[in-house]
Amino acid sequence: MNEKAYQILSGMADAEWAKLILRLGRYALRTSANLSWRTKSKVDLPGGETAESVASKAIVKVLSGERNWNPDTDPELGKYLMDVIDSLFSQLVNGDDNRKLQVIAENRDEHGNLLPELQARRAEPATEWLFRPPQSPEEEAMELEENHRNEQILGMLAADCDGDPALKKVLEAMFDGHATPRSIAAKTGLTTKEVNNANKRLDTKIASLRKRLALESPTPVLKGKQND
Amino acid sequence: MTDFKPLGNAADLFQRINRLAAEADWTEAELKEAFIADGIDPSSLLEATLADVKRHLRESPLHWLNRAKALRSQLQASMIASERRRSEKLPRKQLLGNIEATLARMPPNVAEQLSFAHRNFENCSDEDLESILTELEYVANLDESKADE
Repeated sequence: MNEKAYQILSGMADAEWAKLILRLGRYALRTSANLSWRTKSKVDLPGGETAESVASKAIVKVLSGERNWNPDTDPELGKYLMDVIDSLFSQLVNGDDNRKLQVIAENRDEHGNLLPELQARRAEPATEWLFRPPQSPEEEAMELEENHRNEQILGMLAADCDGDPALKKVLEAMFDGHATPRSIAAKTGLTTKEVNNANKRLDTKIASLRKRLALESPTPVLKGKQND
Repeated sequence: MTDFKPLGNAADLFQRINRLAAEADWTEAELKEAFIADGIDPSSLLEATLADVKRHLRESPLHWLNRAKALRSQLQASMIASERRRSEKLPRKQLLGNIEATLARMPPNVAEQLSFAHRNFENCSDEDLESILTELEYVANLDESKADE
């Protein structure tokens, strides 16, 4: 770890750490849910990991110097740690006990950090860095089921946003490909703070819709493919 | 992240919302709610991770206590080397050579401050030369430790 990084990390108060840990834990939990069709569960991940352990591991990797955080090139620690979490999920998806999908080789340095050029066009961990090896008919059916479920959630989300013009505008801007609060704000005429609040509400809605749908129709588990 | 990037499917949209939501301001209570809604106790994550954070910061070689220990060991080693040299009774020529080499290791401004050029080494006893060398090595080691930081 470099001197500047250590000074920043050791100067953080317990309350700041607590908030960061919870923020990363929540991010990992939702990322895990978005990847659940690959891991079959959002709670138990391959290798005995959980979303919370992935968040914790990301922090420890930075503290131990295994991931070399440079505050000059990545001034926002939270964002950097979210990239580390994405990378850890990518490794889990590509792990021995979860070979259904493979990860396209990434341009990373020896510490696993994204190279600057790739960071600028960082893919979302949902799907873009994955390609699929030939699938069995059962696996194809499962994937179709998951896509169908996501489309259902999306439909319900769009309907849910009907009474909330800010949410609807933000959702539409994202459908159009706008990917940052600044860009979404420019498109919608909302302030970036309003865009951020809208994203928080959208995220909470997705989580509750996902839960509601899971209760109504549990995902069928592919025999012999669970992560155990 | 670039301002504009087309979405592949619904899963991409959900992950984009997750990422942007994570970058927004959350209160601790709001964050805890997300865990509780999923049936997870946030306090166990908090306690375990905070303990890990403190342990790693404490054990880091950059922690002031560990730095002080490292410096102490380095200076002790230097003192032991000086003692050994004293007991070995280095020849006068070698003592003078070591003084020059130690001064050369220092940044020019420090070397100038401590310069013994004005001294007439011919008049110094071997014992005096040993003391001068010990002092110079001590200062040079301290200076190198600072430069390493």
